[in-house]
Formats: sequence, structure tokens, C-alpha cells
Amino acid sequence: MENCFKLITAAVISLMILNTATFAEITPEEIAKITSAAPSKAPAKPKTARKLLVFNLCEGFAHSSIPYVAKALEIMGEKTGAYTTVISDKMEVFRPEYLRQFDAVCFNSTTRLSFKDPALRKSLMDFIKGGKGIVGIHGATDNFYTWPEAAEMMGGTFDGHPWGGGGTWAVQIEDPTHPLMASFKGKGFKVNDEIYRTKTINLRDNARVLMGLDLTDQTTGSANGIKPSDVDIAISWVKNYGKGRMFYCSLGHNHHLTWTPSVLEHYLAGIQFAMGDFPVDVTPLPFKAKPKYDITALVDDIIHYDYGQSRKSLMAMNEAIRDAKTAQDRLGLEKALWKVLSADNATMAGKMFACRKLREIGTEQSAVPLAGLLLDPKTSDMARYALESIEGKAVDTVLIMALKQLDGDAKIGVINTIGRRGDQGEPVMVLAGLVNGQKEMADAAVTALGKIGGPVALSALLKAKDSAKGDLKNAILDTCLICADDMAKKGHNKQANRLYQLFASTDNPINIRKAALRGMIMSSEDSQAEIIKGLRADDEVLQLIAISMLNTVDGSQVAIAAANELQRLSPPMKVKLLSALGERGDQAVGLVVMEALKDADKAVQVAAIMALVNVGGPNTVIPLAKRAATSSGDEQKVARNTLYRLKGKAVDDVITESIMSTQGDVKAELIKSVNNRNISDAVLVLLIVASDATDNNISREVHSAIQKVANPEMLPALISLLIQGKVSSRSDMEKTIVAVSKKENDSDRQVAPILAALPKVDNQNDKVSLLMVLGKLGNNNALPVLRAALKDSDPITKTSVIRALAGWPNAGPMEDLFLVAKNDSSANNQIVALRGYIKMATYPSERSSAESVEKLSQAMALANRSEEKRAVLAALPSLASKEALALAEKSLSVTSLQSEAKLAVEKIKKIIAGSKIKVSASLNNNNANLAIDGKMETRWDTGTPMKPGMWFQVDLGFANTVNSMTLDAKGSAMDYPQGYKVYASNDGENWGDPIAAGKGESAVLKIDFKQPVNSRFFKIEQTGSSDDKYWSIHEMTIGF
Amino acid sequence: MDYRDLIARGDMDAVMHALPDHWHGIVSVACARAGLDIHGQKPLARTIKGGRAICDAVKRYGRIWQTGSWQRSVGHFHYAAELVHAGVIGKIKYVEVGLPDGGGSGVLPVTPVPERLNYNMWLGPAPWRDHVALNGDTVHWNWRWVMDYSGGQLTDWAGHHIDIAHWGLGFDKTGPVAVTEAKGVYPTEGTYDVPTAYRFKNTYANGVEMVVANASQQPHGMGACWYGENGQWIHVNRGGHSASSPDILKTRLGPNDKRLYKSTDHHQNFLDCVKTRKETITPVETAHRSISAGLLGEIAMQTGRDLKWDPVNETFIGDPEANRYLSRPMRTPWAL
Repeated sequence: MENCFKLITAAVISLMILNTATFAEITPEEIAKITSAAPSKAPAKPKTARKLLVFNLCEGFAHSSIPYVAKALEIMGEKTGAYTTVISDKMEVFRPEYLRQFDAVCFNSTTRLSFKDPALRKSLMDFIKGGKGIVGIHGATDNFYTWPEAAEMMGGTFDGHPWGGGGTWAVQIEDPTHPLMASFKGKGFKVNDEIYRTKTINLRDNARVLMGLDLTDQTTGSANGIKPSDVDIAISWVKNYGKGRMFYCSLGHNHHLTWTPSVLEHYLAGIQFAMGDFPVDVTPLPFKAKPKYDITALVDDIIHYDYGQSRKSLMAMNEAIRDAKTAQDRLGLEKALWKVLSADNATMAGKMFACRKLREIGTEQSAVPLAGLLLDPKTSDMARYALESIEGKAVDTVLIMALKQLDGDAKIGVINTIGRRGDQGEPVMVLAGLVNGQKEMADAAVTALGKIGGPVALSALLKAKDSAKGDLKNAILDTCLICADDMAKKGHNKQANRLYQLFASTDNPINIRKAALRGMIMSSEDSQAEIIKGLRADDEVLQLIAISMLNTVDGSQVAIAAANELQRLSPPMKVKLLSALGERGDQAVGLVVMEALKDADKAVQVAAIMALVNVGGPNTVIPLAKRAATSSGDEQKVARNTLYRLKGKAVDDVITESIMSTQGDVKAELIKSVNNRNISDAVLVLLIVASDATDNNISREVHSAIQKVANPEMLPALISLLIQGKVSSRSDMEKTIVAVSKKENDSDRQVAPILAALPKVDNQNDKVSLLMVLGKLGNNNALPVLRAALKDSDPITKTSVIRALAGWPNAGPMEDLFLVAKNDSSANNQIVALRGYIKMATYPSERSSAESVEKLSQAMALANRSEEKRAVLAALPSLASKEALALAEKSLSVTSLQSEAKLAVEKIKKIIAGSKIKVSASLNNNNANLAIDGKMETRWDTGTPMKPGMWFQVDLGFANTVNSMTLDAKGSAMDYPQGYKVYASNDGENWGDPIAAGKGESAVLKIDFKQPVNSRFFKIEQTGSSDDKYWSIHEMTIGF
Repeated sequence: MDYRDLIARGDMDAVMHALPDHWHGIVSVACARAGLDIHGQKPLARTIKGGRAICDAVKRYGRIWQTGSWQRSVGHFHYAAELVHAGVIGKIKYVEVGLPDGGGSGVLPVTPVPERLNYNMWLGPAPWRDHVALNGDTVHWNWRWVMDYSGGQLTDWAGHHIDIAHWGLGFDKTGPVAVTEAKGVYPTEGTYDVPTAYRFKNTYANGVEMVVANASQQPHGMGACWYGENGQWIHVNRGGHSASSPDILKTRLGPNDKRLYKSTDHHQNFLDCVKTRKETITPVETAHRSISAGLLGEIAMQTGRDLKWDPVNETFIGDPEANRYLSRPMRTPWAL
């Protein structure tokens, strides 16, 4: 024995370079485990003393499990007395004279054996064909690549193993009753082992496959390296060969299998079969794919299912139902569900699930299986859940039976279901009989009769209505209306109409009456006549209904007819009718509606104005403009809105044409509407108005309208109006030119028309106007012109230019302004220039912040007045930097500047603090920044449940005054600190006593300090514990 | 308080309900029958037939109805839908609707019914199951993660973004003709059973395709995004709106463009209409069509097949089994 192991070890060492396999020395503990796991009794009694040769030679890969399997086989033989064992790895053992002493040979993960010696090949073949046995464990198929006969004898050759030794794979037993499978108790199992794919050779024709992989298992079916052809992956098989027998099992890669009792027992049974002691059925069977769903198991799971438990099996049943395409497959599932219904131990949740599924796929055949549940008040509801939607007489029959047998609530449920199903047969009379009985039952019967409809149900209802009272009577009337609606829907308008008339009488409740009246109009042969009749009735209920039904009749005839009734109505009804006419929008009633503008009642007038939005046209324009001009408040608002929303190009044309012919406020309203309606064709008229408008209001409106509707091509015309002095208001025109110029996207093209016009301008005022416009547009192309104008001898021109430059939108004229501020003779000009300069120092530029501060420092030096010095101080925070801080601090001692300086210093400090904040944490330090990145969706977290001592630290960069800290965990709402303490420090090392402590209670934790704390470092320490919650900070904000 | 007692008072003109979805049908119909105007919540109802019953009752009794699809009364939603409706990006070919991901999770143990809760009444028409504390000691909010009461994020939000998508398309009174490629991910564990991920495609009679999915499966995430025939698009969501080019959003529609109903205050719009008897911005038929477009997807996910839909008669064509999903049997004694 010891020798054998030494030999194996030597062989392995020689192969190690190729295979990197290492054999661990089998330990005494492992031997003990194997011994204990080995069966104590063999499945068969040996007919005689048996001898097993365990052969271990590897010419290819050497499995580390070889010594384990050898040891296990040896121990099993000894323990059960089934055989004695000889272990070898020498080819000589196959010499016939030596081999003959054995009853079976076990190829124990031998690899790449070639049996080059023909004598030995013959010997092995004679051995098995003559009546002996061959056993293969795991690698035993990895042999005989050059010896086809032996390869076929084994069943095939190794072809890879996508199911590696690290995985756990599902195994299915092909015949659970097969004696060699007894140890697995007939059930598929999962095993952690390496499973071979075998390139089989006539395996299914010559061998009985005992077990294989269950590829319907998700993990097994999706293993890495799997191919579409991997369908039939056999693991164990047996066959007769000549007079002898062969048993193979591919389990045995991992060591632990040798102390797995079921596997050892399987090996032993296979060995006894091979030796001839344990005859079993070896008839080959074709491969049969395992069905995707094990319906029997699913049904069992459903029987035991309860709410809150895993719904895996329920979902599998859903999927099975979805996959079942044929009626036969679906019937199979339907029948399987019946098993849940009839199982004594089925849970209510399980039964309910079965009923839900029968609702979806059940046929008439389910009626009887559901009947039992239906008749039991405890389960009646769930049975109805299934039955209600299943069509067929059989279901009706079961329900009628239940209707007769049941009482109380369960009976009400059955009545409801019968109603839903609309069974016009036998139940109708039964239900009719219930209408006079107990209240709840009667209610249900009424509703059901209404659903069922038809002459019998209806006459029962009509009969019942006279004697019924209160709620029940209402219910009956409502139900009759539903019947009438159904009739009308089906086109039986006459019948429906008769029914509606019956309920329209004044002694019925008002709601019923109203609904009936609506129905009457709807179902009438001449709905229009009914509507007009309603309008003429001396009854506001009828009038209102007639009005509300206006939009149910097509064609403008009805609108015209209704509009003609307007005058006879009361003011509130007029308002309603006008509003309904407006909603309909028939232009044909426009004139009648316009007449209503003159109504004595204000509310009617307003309603008419509103209605005109949809029914008015070009002829409405002037009346509306006049109305807008002469009214105020809501009325004016409504009139304007209508004028702005009137449809059609013709409306635009009337507005445009009427501008010239109207005066004063009406003209202004028309111009306003040009603006709102964006009538670009009106621009020429507007220009004319602009050139001679004397009225300020009109001038303002016309400029606003030009700004809206004129496009940049109109600029030369606008400029020439200005130059020709044909403007009522110079400043309005300047604004208009600026606004229209800005419609041009290209900034250079914005100023081009003005730059072109400027040289031709003589009038000083016009020149100033154009310079001011250039200033507003701020295009740098205009700067040379403006700079030149700075030298203009006219002081007004010069001042205008300085103002234009000071308002420049970028820093282009900054140095020009500096020179003006320094040298100009006018103090006013100096001030304007300096203010512009200060502003521009803060504009985005390529300068460093320090250089910008230097500019401001120069401004400070230049400023004579404290106003400008304060402006410098106010500008400093936008450059927040060390230099800005220093400059601001200089003014702290100047009394007149003190408060602004102080404010600036504080602001700068805060801003610097914000940009210099650094954070760190005891855990996940790399992610700490996510707590201050301004994004709520990112977070810092501990990555492990909260424990005391975890901390999050903030370094402000320099000491600053802090009032509070807010920790926001909204995205991970439960992850607020269980408890916390906050510490402050100026060096990040000496922390002292906590400055705040407490407990988190919700996603957002705001920690207010009792008094402001001036420090550079702040640390939040988590002090509580949680079993499952991390500490997360999505966003932290510091309250300065 | 029992809603029936409230209705019986007889001194109310209008009602605003805030109920779990499975109660919408019964209460709304009862209110309409009692002559009340109704501000109902979206989704209109838990089933398509339930929604149709509400529409019929509202029409029968001539009631004013407003739905809680308040996005219609918010400026930028109105603007985006109006641009689409007016044809600013041409004929619409494709619409993307993104609704929230996920749902509730965890196993809720069966607990005694709190004293102040009439659990049997709360459950109402839904199938019986023992009481679990859905939300601390109340039943609020989390009912939406149980299929018997709601349909999860999909049905919760269909009345928002599908509603807006329909608005822009002019589909307020119609529905798709087919729902295909439906796929839902239903959790196998925990109390909650609504789909946490979902995706399906509605096709309308004029060829417009609308893909509804949870936001992480949509290029624009949450909201509605319409794509025009030239590849231009407009997207709108709670945060704002955007378009394939900024010029689209500079459009100012004029009097001659097709315009949409305008409201700037959803509740006020309801109150105004109660007085004027005009139609609200989200009338009942509109709400019904908005949720139907979501419920059709739910049914396609449940049946696992492509479905053809007749939006006029509101039945599936050639699939009687799918038609079974259009209503749900109710627990005793409830009926609709």
C-alpha cells in the first residue's frame, strides 16, 4: 500500500510541471471522515469473495482526488465485505495472468491511457467481454483516444467541463426508482464538483444513463463556456459489454465527495453491479429533457404558500401559464390548480392564488372543482374571483345552485357575480323575488338585474319601483337608467326614450329626473327640438340640461336655434348658454352673441365677450377694441384676451387696417393686439404711427409693438426715422432700435446698421442717441467710434459716451474709463467712469484674482469720495482671495468705510472657506468628497453598519465662525447617525470637549451649536450602533 | 366615517376623494349618482371597466369631473404639450414615457388591526388577506405596492406622464390599437408584488408608437418625450422642459395655432367649472384614457403576449382571456 502511494506521488511530481497539480497528504481526520461516511452494508451480498483492482496511472492530468477515491473504495470494500482491494499504477497489472484474479478494474481518474501494447489491449477486452467488470470514476473517460473500441466501451471521451469544480450544479435523476440511485432517494440534488461534458459514443444506444445535469437550473444552465448543444450531459451510466458490465460515474473531482455518503453508496452499488453481484436494468433509454417546470412540485409549494413568503413558485406557475400555448397544455395547468383547491392542507393564500390563476385561464371544466369553495361562505369570495370571468353554462349552473343554497353575505356575492355575468336565464326570476326582501340582498339584486338588463329584468325592476322606498327606490331608478343607457348604446333609441320619459316626471328625485331628461334629449329622434323645448320650458332645471346637452348634437343648426332663444332666458341662464355656445364654437352664432354685448346685465356681456373667442370673427374686432378701451378690471382683461385669441388672418387684417382710422384708446388697444398677436405685416403701419404719435400712451404701445413684430431688416428704416426727427419720443425710439437690433443673433451684425448711419449724422442729438444705442449693444466693433467721440468738443456728447462706456457689458473700455476717471475735468464724468471701471474689474477675465484686486486697489486710490470707496469694498467679495481680504481689511480702520469693510471681510472669508473645505472620514475616506459635491444623488457612507467611533471631519482651511452643520441623508433615509458628538479644533489634533451632541431622528439632521464656534477643524463622531444601517451623508452644509 | 353617510347628508355640491386605487370606482360612481361634482385622484380606477363605469355615471348624471393630473395646470407642461399639439416639431412618430423605478420592499408581518381602523372596510372590494402594517401604524401610502390595491409606480404615474404625452398627441379620447413587447420584473420576495421594472409599447391608430418604461430604461429618464418626423424632440418633466434645439422652445404660439386648454390652478379650475358647468382641464374620459394606456401595458405584462385593442369598444381583439383582466371580481358585498 505505502509503495503504491509513493509511486503515485512520484508519477505526479514528474507531471507537476505540466499540470501544477499537487497531492495533499490524506490526513487521519479525512480517513476517519471517509470511514464514517462509507456505507456499513453493501446493497448486494457478494456471490463469492470479490477482488477489485484500483488503477491510478495518469499519462495526462493527475487529479488530486485520486488517492482519496482509492482510499474510499478500499475502505468501503473492507467495511461492507463486498470486495478486497489492490491499488496499482503499473501497466503490467493488465497482463492476463495477473488480471484474471480480479472481478473488476476501476479506472480511478486515469488520464490519457493509450494501452500501446496490443497484448494488454486484448487482455482488457477479454477481461470484460468474458464476464468481468469495469468501473470508471471521474477522469476515466479521459482515456483511449487512440483506441476506439475501448473509448466506446467507456461510453465516450472527455470533452471539457464548463461546470467547474468551484461551482455547485443541479443534478437530475433519470429514473428515481433505479436501484443504483437508491442512495439519492429518488430526488435531484445539487453537488459541488466538476462535471464532464462527454463526447459520447453510442451512449444512449448501449447504456442506461442514471443521472445527468439539470440544465433547467439557472446556474447550471448558464455556466461559463456552455454551448447550445449542451443538452444531454450524462453523469452516471451502466451497460452490459460482452458477457461483462461497465459502470461509470463522473463525480469525484473534489475530495469531499469521498465523505459524501450518497456518492459512496452510489459507487459501491455500481461496483457490485460491475462485479456481477447486483443485477440491474441496463435497458438504454432515450434522453428526455426535463420539463421546464415541475408542476407537481409547484402545486405542492402553492398549497403551502402564505402571504409574505417567497413567491418564486407562484411566479414559476405564472410563467408556466404564459408558456402554455396550446389549449391542452393550459388544461393541464388548470387541472393542476384544482389540486390546490381540493388539498385539505392548502392555505387560504394558496387557494386564493389558484383562484386568481383560474380566473385567467380557467375553462368551464373548473366550475365543479370551484363549486365546493363557492358553497363554503369562508371561501365563496375566492371561488367567485375565478368563476366570474369564466364563460359557459356550467359556471352559470354552479352559480344558480349557490344562489339557491347560500344565504347572507355569500349569497350577496353570488348575486353580484351573476349580475356581472349577465345571465338572462333562470336567475332573473330568483333575483326579482329578492327585490322585496332583506335590504342588502334587495340592493344587490337590483344592481344585478340592472347589469343583466333585458325585458324580464327590466319589467321586474319597473314593477318593484312603485312599492320601493328611500335608498332602494333610488337604486332601482338608477338601475333603470343604466338599462335605458344600455338600450340607447345598442341603438334602441325609441325604447330608451320611452324609459327616460317614465323617469323624467317631477315626482322623482331631482338627480334621477335630470339624468332622465338628459337621456331623453340624447335618445330623441330630434335632439335639437328637445333642446329647444327645454330652453323654452319655464323650468330652469330643464333649461340647464338643454344647455348642457348642446355639445352632444352635431351641426351648427342646433347652435343657431339655441342662440335664437337667448333673449327669452334669465340673465344667469343667458350666461350659461353663451358659455356653451362659446365652447361649441359655431361661427354662425357670432352675430347673436355680439348682440348680447349690449345686454343690460354685465355678467351677460362678459359671457358674450368670452364666447366670442370661438364664435367671433373680423367684424368683432372693433367692438372688442372699443370694449377694451372703455372698460377696466376683469371685463377689460376678458375683452383683450378675446381680441388676442380671435382666429383667422382676416382678423389680423382688420386690426392692421383699423389702426389708422381709429384714435386714442381704441387705437392703443389695436396696437396692443398687434403686439400680442405678433402681426408682423402691421410693422409699416406701426412705423407711420411712431413717426407722428403725439399721445404718450400710443407712443409707448407702438414702440412696444414694433419691438415685438419688427425684424432686424427694418433697422435702417427705424434709424432714418430717428435721424429725420420723425419720432415723438427719442428715448422710446432708442429702446426700440436696441430691442430690434438684439433680435439679430450675430453681435457684429447688430451694430452694423448704426455704425453705417453714424458718419452721416450731423445733428448732435441724433448722434448722442446712436452712441447711446451702441453703448447698450456693447459690441466691441463700436469701441473705436465711441473712443473717438470721447474727444468730442461737445460736453453733452462726451458725457453720453462716458455713460455708454460705463455701461458696457464687457471690460473692453476699462482702461479708457480709468483715464477718464483720472484726467477728466468734470468731477461727474470722473465718478461715472470710475464706477464703470470698478464694475468691470470684477468681470470675468484672464487676469489673476490678485491682478484684479490690484485694479480695484488703484480705483481705491483714485476715489475721492467714500461712495466709490464703498463700491470698491462691495466689489471685493466677487474676487474673494487673500489679496481681496487684505485690501478690505485695510479699510476696517477708516470710520466712514468701517461697516462696508467689515461686511466685505466676512463675505470674503466665507467664500474662501467654502472653496477650501477639505473633508475626511474614518471609513471610505476616498469618497468623503461626495458629501460636499453639491449633488444629492451622490453620498459618502461607512460601507458597514454604524458603530461608535466612526467619524467625519471638516477642515475649513482657516478658522471661521460656524453656527450649525446639516447632514442630509435623504437619498438613504434611514442612514442618519444613531448618535453623534461634534468636536472643534484649531490644529486638527487637540479636540477638547464636544461642542454639540445628540441623536439623529430623521434623514436630515441639522446640528445647531449653542453659540457660534470659531474654529478651523470640525469633527462629527458617530456614537450609536445599528445592525443593518450604514451612516450616509449625501450632502453636508456648514452654517456660517 | 363611511362615505355613504357623507353622501347621505345631502348638503354637499362637490367632493374631493383621496382613496387607495381599488376604491376609486365604487366611491366615484356613488358620488356621481348622488349628484356630486367630483375631484378624483389619478389613476382613475384600478381596472379599465371600473374606469368606464365612472365615465358612464359621470355622463349619466351630468357631473363635473376633475382628475388629480395636476401637471396639466403647470405652465411648462402646458407649453411643451401645446408645442407638440400645434405641430412645432412636425408629425409625431414616437413618444417615450419614463415613470419612476422600483417600489416597496420587505416582508411585513401580519399584525392586529389597529383599533381606529375599519380594516374590512378599507379592504372593501379587494380580496381578503390578513392585516399587515403597511406604513407604521397606518395603511397609507404603501398600499400602492400591492397589486390588489394598485399597480405600483406604473399605474401611480401613468396619470401624470402618459396623461401629458396623450395631451400633446390629442389622444384624450382614444387609446392604442396594440400593446406589444411588454416585460415586467415582479419581485419574488417580500410583501409587495408590483413590478419594479416595466416596459411596453403602445401603438395608436395613426401609427404613433409610445414606449412606456421605468425611468432607468428611458434615454430621457422621467417624463414625456415626443419625437417628430424630422428627428426633433421635446421633453418635459417636473424639473422643466428641453428640446432638440433651443429655438423650438422660443416658439410663441399665436391665435391661429392649435391651442390647448389653459389652467394655471388645478383646484381652482375644478371650482370654476363647478360654477360654470364647463369641462375641466382633465375630464373623466381623459383620465380614463390616460390610465387605460398604462393598464393595457400591465395586462400585456401579465398575460405575456402581444395584444390588439379596440379603443372604441374597449375590448381586446381575438383574445377572450385577456378580456378577463378588464375587471376584477369584488369581495362581498361590493359591486360596481
